Amino acid sequence: MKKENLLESRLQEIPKDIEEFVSLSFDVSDRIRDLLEKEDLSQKEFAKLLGKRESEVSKWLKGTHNFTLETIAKISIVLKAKLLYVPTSTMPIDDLKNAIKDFEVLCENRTLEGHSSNIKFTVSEQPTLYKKEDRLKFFDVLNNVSINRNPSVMEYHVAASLCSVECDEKRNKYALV
Amino acid sequence: MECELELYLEKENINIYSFRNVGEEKLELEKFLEKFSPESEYSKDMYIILAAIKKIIENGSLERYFRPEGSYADGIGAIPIEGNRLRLYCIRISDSIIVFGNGDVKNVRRWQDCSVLSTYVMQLKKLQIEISKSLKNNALEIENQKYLKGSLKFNIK
Repeated sequence: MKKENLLESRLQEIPKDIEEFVSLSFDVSDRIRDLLEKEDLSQKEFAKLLGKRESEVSKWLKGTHNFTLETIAKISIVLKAKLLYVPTSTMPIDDLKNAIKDFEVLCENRTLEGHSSNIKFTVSEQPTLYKKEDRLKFFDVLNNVSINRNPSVMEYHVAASLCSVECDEKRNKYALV
Repeated sequence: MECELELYLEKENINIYSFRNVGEEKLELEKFLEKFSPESEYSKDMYIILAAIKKIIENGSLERYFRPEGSYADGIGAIPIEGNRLRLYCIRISDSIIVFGNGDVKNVRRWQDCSVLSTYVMQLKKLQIEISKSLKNNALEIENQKYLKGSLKFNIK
């Protein structure tokens, strides 16, 4: 009989919240490293910009650091880039439109209240923004769009109500407006 | 003392090795994993280490994930770095090969101040020296980036 691998079985025991915490912490560290490289900043210069000791910053970059939102905000300002994207219900539809690469309208309904469409579309690969998100919702004043991601492909199914879809029949192209 | 390296877990991006002291049944990593059960007061600390190992399995044993114990040249690392009462010591051979040793509760500022932790770190330091020698004289070779091939027995007096 094959001997049980204790490490593999103990890895299964990790509570989801701890696993998510450590994973986020590693991802934030990796993101900071990437940005430092992009900005051509040394760890020492970065620490100086934040008013911290280099040894402290060095610890942050090894994973498992419990970053506070305040620290994340300061780092974002210093590195001139977002470290985390939080999907919120108030995310403007412009962000969604910018992410859309291609889409097709599956069916449309015109009612007295307005125009609703079921749209299938693909989005540009934006792993940071959409990573591991199974369901995203976007709202703005006029539009209410709910999106379900098909996890096996980079494809999202969208049900959009009161979302105008203009169709240029001659060119057979659609545009979200 | 003689010890023998053993491939303990094989994954796509990394192979995890540990070692067994001659005459002992368990690998050093197994001893560590058995030391802190889910009921232990250190269970959360243990889970953080396990979650860090999971990330290392995903991304590889990148140099930046480890705190060097002693000088950088020693190649001995500890996880995790902070906010944890436990330490697990390892030898990072490359991004794709790591050797885990033992670890324990760290309630002193420096591992040198604790006889238990010192034993684990010193043993790994000696093992690391022997592994480096063997790699240099080709008694040990790295195959397909993540397999240690050759004599896996070392004398770490």
